[in-house]
Amino acid sequence: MLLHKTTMYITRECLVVPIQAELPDDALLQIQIDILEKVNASSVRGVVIDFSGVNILDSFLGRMVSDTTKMTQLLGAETVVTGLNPGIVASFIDLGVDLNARIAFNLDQGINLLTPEEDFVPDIEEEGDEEENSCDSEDYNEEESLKDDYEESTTNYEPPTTNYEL
Amino acid sequence: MRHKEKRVSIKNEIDIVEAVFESKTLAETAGFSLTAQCAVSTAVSELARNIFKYAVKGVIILRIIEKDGNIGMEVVAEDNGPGIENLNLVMKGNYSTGGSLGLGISGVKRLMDEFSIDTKKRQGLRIITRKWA
Ligand SMILES: Nc1ncnc2c1ncn2[C@@H]1O[C@H](COP(=O)(O)OP(=O)(O)O)[C@@H](O)[C@H]1O
Ligand SMILES: [Mg+2]
Repeated sequence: MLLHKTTMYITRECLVVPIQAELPDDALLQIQIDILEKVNASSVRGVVIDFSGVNILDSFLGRMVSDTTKMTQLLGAETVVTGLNPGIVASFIDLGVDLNARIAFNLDQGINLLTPEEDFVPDIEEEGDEEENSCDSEDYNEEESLKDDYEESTTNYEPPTTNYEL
Repeated sequence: MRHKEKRVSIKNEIDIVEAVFESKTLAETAGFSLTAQCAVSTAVSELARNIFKYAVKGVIILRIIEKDGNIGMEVVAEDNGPGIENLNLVMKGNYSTGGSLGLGISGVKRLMDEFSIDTKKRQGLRIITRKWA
């Protein structure tokens, strides 16, 4: 079976939530709760929900995203949806669900929409300084930032045992 | 000519994920474009969730079909649940007795090429729907 695991992380003052494979409803609702708690606990500018790992966006997931967008807005953060593929988009239009979120082509552009590079001042204090840590936007390295100063949260979903009749 | 058929019984929430996965695999086997695969899987997701939510249990039957040299996919959703009373409202969309969006069944009709629904109060529901590659 599929691995139901979503790891969210904070980078450049954005909470990034990669949705991976098709998740059962209760796992999606748990992710929604996790997003709201993270947004509330950390002062991120916004949330990027990345769909590059999913095949379909049905009315349930669409509503979850739309609700999450409205809720994060009330907490003062914006939500951007990224990574939608043409198939998803065509089907989603047929369903007629409104996402209510801003859309960007990919993760990088989503993050840029929320935190334009020129706005970003990296938090240098926490770095275990080696050399001069002048992270201007030019040589900002995303790899590093993921490993270094940012917390990770993991939603683990343990699928219940099932019996399929195939 | 006998084509592949897959039955996924829907009893648990996770079965919805399984039905979606199987439909995607079968649509791929049938040679559907990515967009058409996505349409079929999205439809299956809506139908399977409806079974789980409103009828508690039922079955999704997926098969590859052929007509006049065209390959297609048939999706049948069947249950013995409460059935639908206000079919006209449901088909129009934006009508839900479950507190959700009410865009599932009307959406399935748009996603697929052929759609038929047979339901009676307290006697369950059968939806037969097809998409051609
Ligand atoms: N398998 C089913 N058995 C009984 N009623 C159903 C079934 N599927 C759908 N319905 C009814 O049709 C309505 C509309 O379904 P749908 O279009 O999927 O939207 P939603 O699930 O968001 O309500 C449901 O609210 C429910 O009342
Ligand atoms: Mg539904």
